[in-house]
Amino acid sequence: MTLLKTHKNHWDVIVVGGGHAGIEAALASARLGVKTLLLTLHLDLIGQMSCNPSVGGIGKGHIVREIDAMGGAMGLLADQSALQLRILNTRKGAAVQAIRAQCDRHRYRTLARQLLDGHNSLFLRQGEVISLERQGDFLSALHLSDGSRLTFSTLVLTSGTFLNGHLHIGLSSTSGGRGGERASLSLSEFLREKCGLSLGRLKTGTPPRLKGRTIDFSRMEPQQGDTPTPFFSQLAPLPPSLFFDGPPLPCHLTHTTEQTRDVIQKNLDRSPLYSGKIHGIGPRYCPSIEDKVVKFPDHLTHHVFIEPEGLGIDEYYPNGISTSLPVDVQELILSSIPGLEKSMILRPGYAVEYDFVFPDQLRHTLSVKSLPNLFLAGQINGTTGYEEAAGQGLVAGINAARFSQGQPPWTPDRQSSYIGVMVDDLVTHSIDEPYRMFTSRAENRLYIRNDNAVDRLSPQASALGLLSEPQRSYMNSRFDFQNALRNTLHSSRRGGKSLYHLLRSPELSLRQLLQEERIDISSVPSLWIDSLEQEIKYEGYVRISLERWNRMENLPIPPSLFDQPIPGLSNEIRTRLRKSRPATLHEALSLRGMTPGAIDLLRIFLTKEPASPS
Amino acid sequence: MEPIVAPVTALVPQPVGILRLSGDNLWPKISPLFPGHPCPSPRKATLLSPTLNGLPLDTVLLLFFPSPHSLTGEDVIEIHCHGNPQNIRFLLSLIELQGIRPAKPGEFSLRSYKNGKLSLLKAESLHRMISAPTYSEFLSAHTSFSQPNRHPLYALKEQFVDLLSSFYAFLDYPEDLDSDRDSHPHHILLSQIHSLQTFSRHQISLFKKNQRAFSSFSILLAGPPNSGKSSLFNRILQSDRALVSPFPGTTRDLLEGRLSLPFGDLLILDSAGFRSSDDIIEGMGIAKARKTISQVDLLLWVNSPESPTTLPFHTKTKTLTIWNKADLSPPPPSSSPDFIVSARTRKGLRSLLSTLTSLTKNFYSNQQSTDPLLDSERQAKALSSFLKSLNLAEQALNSGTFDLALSSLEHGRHLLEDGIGLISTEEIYDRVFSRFCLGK
Ligand SMILES: Nc1nc2c(ncn2[C@@H]2O[C@H](COP(=O)(O)OP(=O)(O)OP(=O)(O)O)[C@@H](O)[C@H]2O)c(=O)[nH]1
Ligand SMILES: [Mg+2]
Repeated sequence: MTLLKTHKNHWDVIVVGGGHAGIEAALASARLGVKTLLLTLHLDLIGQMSCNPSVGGIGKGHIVREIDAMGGAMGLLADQSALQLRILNTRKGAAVQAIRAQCDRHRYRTLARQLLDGHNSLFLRQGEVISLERQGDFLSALHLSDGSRLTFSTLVLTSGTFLNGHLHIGLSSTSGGRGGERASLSLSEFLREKCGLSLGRLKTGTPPRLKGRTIDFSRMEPQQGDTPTPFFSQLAPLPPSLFFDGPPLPCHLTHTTEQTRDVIQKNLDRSPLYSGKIHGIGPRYCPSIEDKVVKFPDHLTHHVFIEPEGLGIDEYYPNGISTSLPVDVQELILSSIPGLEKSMILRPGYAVEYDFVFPDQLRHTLSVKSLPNLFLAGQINGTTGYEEAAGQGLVAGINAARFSQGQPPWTPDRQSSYIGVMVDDLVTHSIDEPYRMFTSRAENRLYIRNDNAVDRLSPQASALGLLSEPQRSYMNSRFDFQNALRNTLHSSRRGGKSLYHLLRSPELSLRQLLQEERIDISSVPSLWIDSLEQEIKYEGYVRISLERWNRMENLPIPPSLFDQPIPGLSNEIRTRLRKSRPATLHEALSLRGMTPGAIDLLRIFLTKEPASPS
Repeated sequence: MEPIVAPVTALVPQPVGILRLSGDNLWPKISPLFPGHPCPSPRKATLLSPTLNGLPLDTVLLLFFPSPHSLTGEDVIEIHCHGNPQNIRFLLSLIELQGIRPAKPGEFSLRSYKNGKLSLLKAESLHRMISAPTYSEFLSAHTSFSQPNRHPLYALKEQFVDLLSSFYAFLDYPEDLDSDRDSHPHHILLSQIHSLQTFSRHQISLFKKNQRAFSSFSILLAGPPNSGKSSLFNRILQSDRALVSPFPGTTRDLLEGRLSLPFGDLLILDSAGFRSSDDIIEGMGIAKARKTISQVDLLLWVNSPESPTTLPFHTKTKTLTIWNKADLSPPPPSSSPDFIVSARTRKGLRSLLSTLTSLTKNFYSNQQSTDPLLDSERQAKALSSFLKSLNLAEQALNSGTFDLALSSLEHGRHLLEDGIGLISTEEIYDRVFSRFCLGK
């Protein structure tokens, strides 16, 4: 009896946190057939979108496609709960396009729960972790506030903004994660005191949520979704339409006014941001409205996007005016915005401050360097955004499961995925402000496109065992189709040149060519056509940019360099170099704390003749 | 680093000569020359006597600049001694005996550079400053040196970081920026690229215009052997630089002398006499002289009564003919030399010199700009390859492939870095967020 009970409470992988990182981590682990428990503070809030109800966008949408190509959840959930979907950057070239979905956040949650429920090796549990047991370099068990003790082989922490979270509305503050949920203070202490990890503090914020009936949409510019609807999913036949009948729901665009600016300037002293109450560092790229007004005083207006939160739910998210000013000021701000003058607040905006772990204490597997069976993913690593969190969840989940089975780690590659770029950035550079994915961060941008995530990642996912049988066969039929078409394009000629060759010219489109050649593709998913077309068009450029990259950054660093003193390098940097012994200039470049001057010195040392005495 | 030493003043008789030393832990290494004396206090002139076997050798002023607050970032010691060349040589040899090796040319600057005391741009400005033939070029180089942000490549870099940050903003924030307030991105980006192209082309052409074999106004003395070229060379420089002898074929290699005139330097070159010669070395000297004729600003063709010849080939270089040894015999009536002189009696030299002076003055009066310029071939090269990637980016943008344009620019960033050092990514992101109000 006792034996059985012990067994029942032992888990190969326990994932703490039911946010977007937690979902992907738990699912990845379960898909690998490992006995997994997802532990969360509130079972009904799994997959909560606590910021705006939207998934994807530039950089982020790329990550969603990659998660999807690895058999993950986020793309599916977003597609099936989407109120509208759009492709962004349509005029800037295929390499930088991405999809953005506006989601019904209630439906998203429900679907997430259903997806988790559907796995045999995945279990859910509501509970609050109050302490952890450590044995040497390993964590072994955790205790819940309800008195239970759970043991595990590996632990994945995805506790989001809940580490020592503090909510600020005006000058009043309460402890809590987000949207009134509880915060975990003890976990933060444990990581700092018992695990010796160094923690920092960040902040983020939301705008007030508004009641739709009190918004005058007629004074705003509607933003429609694309038709035909683009979807994220790539490993399953696409849904025939959005989940509801009728046209996609529009978003609406309005803007702040000079009056908004005046209101904010007059009340700055009541903002916890500017009165010095908040110490955490906020992201520059997700500024509160008070930040925007202070930093850009001569911008008379700022965009505000009114986003629907769900179908049949009269709640709207005014994206662009996140604030931690007191509620009465929030009301004044709203009344200064065209179309929102009479709007009523359903939930006030707030700022949240939380602890995070400096991610350079992690390996590329997202396990803690000093505690190999502890994995961290999501906002706990200092990132923002559901997509960034989910991408890390996937990596941590895969590796936690593999670690529990004694298998070697799997790490995503910087040259072939945004997830790889992100993980590499985090663990090598660490962060000093919340990390968000930008397409500008990816050196190999022309290759890691939105259209070819399946080519880049699905074969790996399949080899790892992450894909279900239907996903695998769908992937294979895509590859078969594309191989066949590729062969046809190579062998058919026109005017002495192969069709494949002709397609490299920007003017000619694959669809047009196939039509002229009378090849019927009406039954083929359009993504299959698009990705092959872009592959052909970008092939040459990708090669050139890779060669350039290799020439520039692969300057080898002879190991002897670390043993000789490099004049001009600070002791700190010298120690870092000696410790991590980078093999190339690029690796050195990505070390934390490398200053431009230091890189300069290294570059000179490596390219110029070594003027060092014998 | 290994300690080094070099005289920083010329080895000619003058009141003061200066020796400079640089390296780690310097004082203990040279203290045997100053027995019993404690390490001098930093940055204070200390009066000392180097001694050998108890015998005082000279009275010197010693300045000690401990690392890192020094020229090179290492310990630096400057010794101001009496400027007798023999004295300087002897002190040098004593210092070298302490295990301090002579510096290679440019080694002090190299160390300053490596120790972050001198940026690559500054090092090159410094070099141009030291070798500037005119005061205006000195000023131009000094402007870049003392105010690096006025260096043309710095200005270029600023514009380029702006351009990249615009690209990144438009790339990652299509929803925030694709509206009327920020007008159409392609338009803005193209005009930024155009202005960078114009600037780069302008700088490259300015550099090319200034790019000559000799940076100063240059004069070559050539003519048949034994006509007295070397004698004239010595007269013009007022020193016995060149070997003079009654035997034809005395001068073999090209000799260089410099006259510092108030408005700019005059570079004068002496060459081997022209004749067909079996001597290989002399033949090489003649070939060199021939080649040099096309590179100088003025050719002085020197004849004498022994074997007068005319210039054996055509040249575009401005040429003046000189009849030397007029004390022996006047030029034949058939010839009409521009100058009739005697290097021996100095007859006619004054008029020759005043013509050379006014030609020099004319030459420099056309180039009085003190605007900072590119400093080196290396910088010009980096800039031209950067310009190529700008052109590629322009093409890509015109054909609507924003992503390919950006990729060319990112390549250009590395090329530019070869000229000016690293452009940090952080710097670009800072620009993105300080120029654009981004994010919701
Ligand atoms: N009488 C007289 N002799 C001169 C004069 N100038 C030079 N000489 C002599 O001519 C000889 C040759 O002079 P250099 O100056 O060596 O002639 P050079 O043209 O340099 O000769 P190479 O280097 O051999 O081509 C020496 O013996 C000089 O003393 C002059 O004006 N009058
Ligand atoms: Mg001679």
